[in-house]
Amino acid sequence: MSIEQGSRPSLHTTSTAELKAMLNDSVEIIDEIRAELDAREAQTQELEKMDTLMVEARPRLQEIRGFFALVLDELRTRRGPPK
Amino acid sequence: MVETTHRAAPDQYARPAQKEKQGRLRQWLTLVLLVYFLICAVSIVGDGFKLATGDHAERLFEFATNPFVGLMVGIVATALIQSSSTVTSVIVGMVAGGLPVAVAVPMVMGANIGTTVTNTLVSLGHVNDKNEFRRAFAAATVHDFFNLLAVVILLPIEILFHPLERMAGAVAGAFYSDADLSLDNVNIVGQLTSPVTDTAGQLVSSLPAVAGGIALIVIGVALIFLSIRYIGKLLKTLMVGRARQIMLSAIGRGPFTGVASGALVTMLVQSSSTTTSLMVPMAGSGAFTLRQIYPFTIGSNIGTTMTALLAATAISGATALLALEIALVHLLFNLCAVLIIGGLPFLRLLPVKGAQWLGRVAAERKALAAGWVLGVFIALPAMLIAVTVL
Repeated sequence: MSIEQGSRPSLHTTSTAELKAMLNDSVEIIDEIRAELDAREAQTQELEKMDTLMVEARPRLQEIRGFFALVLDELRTRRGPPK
Repeated sequence: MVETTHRAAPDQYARPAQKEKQGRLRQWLTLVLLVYFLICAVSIVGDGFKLATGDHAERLFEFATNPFVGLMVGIVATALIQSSSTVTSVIVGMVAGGLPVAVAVPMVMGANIGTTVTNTLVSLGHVNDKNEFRRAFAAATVHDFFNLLAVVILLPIEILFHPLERMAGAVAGAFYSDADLSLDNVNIVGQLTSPVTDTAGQLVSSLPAVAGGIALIVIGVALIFLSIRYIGKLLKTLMVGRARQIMLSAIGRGPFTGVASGALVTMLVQSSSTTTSLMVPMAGSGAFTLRQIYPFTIGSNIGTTMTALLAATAISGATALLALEIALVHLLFNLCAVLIIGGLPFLRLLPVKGAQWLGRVAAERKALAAGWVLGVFIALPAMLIAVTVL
């Protein structure tokens, strides 16, 4: 604690503008830390589902067929309605 | 009455635990048996190839002396089977049977590209949500971009100077000279696998040499395919907890840990397709960014080389060194790719940028995503052959 106080510039002698800037910076850093922690929490939760994902994350013929059906639809739409 | 209940309760809990323990033991024993069959199968492919080609393996594979043809063989075979481990294990067996290492090297490189089709196909399942598809498709194709870039850089160098083949030869030579000192004339693997390989040989002994050889190759390839498939299935259940721990501990630790954890998880489940496909829904949901997935994907390339190394232990005799050499080429190729692409700042982010761009355009126009899948895995190899053959 004392070391931290020693390395930090004295707040009493810092100008108001500087103090406001420091506060703004701190808020930004805290927000970034919060966002990073939230992202890591989401990643941890995602990894909890790994048992299911390991089994389910594989190519499925029905999904591939569905994708190519969508592609054909897209191509037909771009070509315009049949005359 | 109360006492009886108290005594019965721990017993009730103990029984399922004991059953689970027995189930696990059975799974581990099955795994050992499957690994044994994999090793036997690689040996059978080698024997079959020797029998079918006699001393003319080189002449038989003359068509593949064009490295682009070899590359295409690797891409198409792996894309069809959806397992680079199976293809590289078969290649190890074929090298043991007389296929020249120089001809096999582009095939191994092709297997590296072909294996990326699996997670790309998995990403197509996310097509109904535009943003999810953009993230998922980018996460899948970063593997395509990295492996294509690795081949673009290393295949021409290999064709001109053979550095991978030379390095692998030196390492394999050093390994076998040491092995000779400690295991002089004791062919442990050969003795262990001979009951299965001899039985397979006897089964086809009544056939003419070429037909018998082809039959052995078919039996061997089928056995490799099935054993790797079931090894993967078993390892998924046995290793999921440990794989999760590895991935959890890699969060927030930077790219080196990412590469190492990708390699470790792939070694545990013995399939790069499983690990890279696993990352697709995780990226699709937005939980992991593309940059976080990238090192993990690269690591999976290294982890998957262990199967071919394991397969090389099956080979004994004069061609054992060559079998180990081609397995080491697979490992060295992937290590060099990581060192070159990961080490050079102007190359490092190329796969990420390429995948991000492709993800964006594919989310807008699905036909482009389809074009990528069909182009990379079918049209590009065909075009390369056409250009070099004609």
